[in-house]
Amino acid sequence: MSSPVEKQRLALALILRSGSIQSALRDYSRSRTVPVNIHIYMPLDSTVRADSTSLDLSSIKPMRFLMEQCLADHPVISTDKSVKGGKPVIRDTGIGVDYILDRLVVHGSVRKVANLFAPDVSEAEVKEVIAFARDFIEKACGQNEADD
Amino acid sequence: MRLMIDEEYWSLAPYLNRVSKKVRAQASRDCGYPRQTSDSRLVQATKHDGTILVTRDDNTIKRKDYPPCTHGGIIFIQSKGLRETEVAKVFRHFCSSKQIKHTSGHLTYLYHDHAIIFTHRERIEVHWFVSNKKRTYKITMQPLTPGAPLLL
Repeated sequence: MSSPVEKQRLALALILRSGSIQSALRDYSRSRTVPVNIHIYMPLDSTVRADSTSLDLSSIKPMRFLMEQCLADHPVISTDKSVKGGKPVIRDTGIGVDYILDRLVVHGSVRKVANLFAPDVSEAEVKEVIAFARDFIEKACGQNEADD
Repeated sequence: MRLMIDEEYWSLAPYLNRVSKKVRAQASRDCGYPRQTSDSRLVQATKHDGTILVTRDDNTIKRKDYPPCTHGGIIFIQSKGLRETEVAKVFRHFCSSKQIKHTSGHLTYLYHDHAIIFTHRERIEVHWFVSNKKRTYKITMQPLTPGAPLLL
């Protein structure tokens, strides 16, 4: 491996392939020949150190990594470190995904929540927030199952 | 009292304006700050504009980063699971207490039945109890020890 970016890609590809950080470490210790041609999205704030003899994945924030994956599937959602501390928000607004979900709990319908934030947020965007949360849970639980 | 409402909370502004004639709430965008303005810039703006920021971002706006009087004042509303009308009601209870004067330049955490204000030297806790449309307040003041951990 040459550049740090290459090493980071390898580390993340390992996690993607194995399903979890623990499994990735286990797999890597078994075999050093790992394909790196998996297209992945780089986490914003992870620092992965990997060299020819050791691979330290402990510094990756797993949940942040999963969120990055979900962001790729939901372009309506975005993150910016200076806004809400990097929490996912609806793109071009400062309205957090967690706050939309909280309003859904309180108001009980997608239409009411969209009306609350109209014209900034549409019903489709509220639905996208729900889909984002669903995907995140699916990925997070999938990771735990892989750990078991 | 001029309040600048964080972008997320702007739907709360009309409700807060009905709380009292002394309260004038405006969304951050109406104060001239575009969408997705950073939290730190909004906090800085409170000092310049003489407003108090109303937000829920106590995770990103930390007490240790914003000592008293380095800003115009920040009110964190812990409104999880509360309707806008209920938040306005909580705000009305808090406004009726005389301790509201301490919010300017300080950090205030507003919960559904109490508020905690951190001034230079004190941690002021204001509890309100409502029975038969009558409000009573219990106020406790604790001195802040210099160098002590910044806990709620």
